[in-house]
Amino acid sequence: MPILSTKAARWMLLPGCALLAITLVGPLLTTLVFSLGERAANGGYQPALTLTNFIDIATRSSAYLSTLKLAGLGAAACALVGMPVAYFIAKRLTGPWRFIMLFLVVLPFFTSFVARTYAWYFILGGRGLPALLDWMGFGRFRLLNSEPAVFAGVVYAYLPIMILTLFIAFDRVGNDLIEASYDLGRGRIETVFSVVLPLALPGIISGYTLVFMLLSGEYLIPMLLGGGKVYFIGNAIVDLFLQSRNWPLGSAIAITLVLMLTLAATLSQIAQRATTHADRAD
Amino acid sequence: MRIFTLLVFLFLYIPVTVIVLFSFNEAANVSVLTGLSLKWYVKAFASPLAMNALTNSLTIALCTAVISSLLGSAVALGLSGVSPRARMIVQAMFMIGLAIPGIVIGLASLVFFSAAISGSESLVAFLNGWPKPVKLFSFGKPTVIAAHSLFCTALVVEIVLLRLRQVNRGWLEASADLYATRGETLYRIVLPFIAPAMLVGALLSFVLSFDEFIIAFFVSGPNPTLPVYMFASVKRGITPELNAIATTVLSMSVFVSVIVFLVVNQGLRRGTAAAA
Repeated sequence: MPILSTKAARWMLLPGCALLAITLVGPLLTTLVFSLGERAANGGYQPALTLTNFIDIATRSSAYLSTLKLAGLGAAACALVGMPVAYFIAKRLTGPWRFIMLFLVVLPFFTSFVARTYAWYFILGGRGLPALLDWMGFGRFRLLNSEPAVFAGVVYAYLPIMILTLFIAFDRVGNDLIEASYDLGRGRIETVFSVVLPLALPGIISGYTLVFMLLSGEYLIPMLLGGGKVYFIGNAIVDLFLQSRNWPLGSAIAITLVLMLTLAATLSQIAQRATTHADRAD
Repeated sequence: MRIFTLLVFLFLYIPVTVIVLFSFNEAANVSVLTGLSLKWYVKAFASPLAMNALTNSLTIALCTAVISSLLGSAVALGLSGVSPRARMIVQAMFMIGLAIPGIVIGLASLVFFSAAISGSESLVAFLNGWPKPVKLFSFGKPTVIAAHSLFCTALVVEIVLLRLRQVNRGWLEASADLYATRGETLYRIVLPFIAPAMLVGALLSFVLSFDEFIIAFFVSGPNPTLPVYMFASVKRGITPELNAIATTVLSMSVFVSVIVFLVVNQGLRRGTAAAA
């Protein structure tokens, strides 16, 4: 027996669908329409039907390249750093410690993103780490406004969510299989590489994709830590919307970003399916 | 592996600790620690701009939490009673709302709301025969609440659905056997059972909305939220007051997150006790 009658269920869905209409469907359709329009003389949007905006995207190609590069490398670094930690929490800890450690890892993800990025701005800024290094006699360095600074910022920001997804992936690998591997005379490290990692691979791919997608839409970190030298798709969008007020081109870039992420998610689904061991699917 | 994990924890926590330390620092110079002082908190809390941003953020987060928790729970309940096809479509739409980057949601909301504002103003003026468009609503708290409610509601839907999956069919049948109507069963059996999930959903929505930056950056108009205000201040230069504001924001999010942790922990324990 269902909880609600069909009629009552439809009424319950109504407010949610209204929300979807005004915050998702409406905005995305408007963006699509704007992307086919022209920039009005004093900025904004003017109705038109043209594809020039999608051709003009080529003028922002460096933003796409730099996003792909830093999102790809950043997600990879998060995965490499996150794997030992996630494995440790999932397989070496027992009892309440697992949950507590997991909470401590995820906690930063739920605390002010601006404040955490600002913390790096503070540390890498002229009076932070560079001043300390200078005082210790290593000479004067400029750390802020560089690619490595942005890289450190993105790894710091997205490591918690990566560890969380990797934890779920490792947690699913049955302890019985690990025991069996030990019984058959394999060492710890060998077991990790021949049993745990292959079985956790779909989860690792999904964690990588998640962080890659989150990073691709990043604006704040390149803005604060890259100081305009590192330019993401997000920075291009903000500039077009809030500075040069070329809304149609900004909309077109946003649409390509969504398409790019859809492609990434689809490829990831295919890769996850290909690496799943069907006999152990639970 | 233990040492590596410890190092990662240090990496995750040291930057935040530095901010907290310096917010209590006496010196106006932000690079040396000289002594304990609360004066930057006093100064930050006396700033009308910062306080305005804080009240904006609190109002928005509170409204978003209430709206998302109610709408999300209604959607999760409603999904159980409609055709599988409708269920799939609505669930997929909310997943899309969660998966699309904030920057796209932000700019899409900006163009949609600005079109809606100018469109509705001209329409109302036209229908009433007024010569000039009137301001009906503008960018500010309502637009931020609407945009935040999308991803928060999507999150609540997922959380409440997880909980609804644990509802025992037997309870519903027993309730019906005892002559309870569907409404009574919903009110006395189902709602108390999903209440913890609704609470967790509301608290998470509060934290996420309170901390959200990029969407608010696009649609908050002239009335910034705290993250937007902080971003603007950072660009003007680091001050000790900023450290104090950041520490306040951090401790608020940590406080609410710890409550979520305790509620979830309690729920897990009760769940295992029931299963045993």
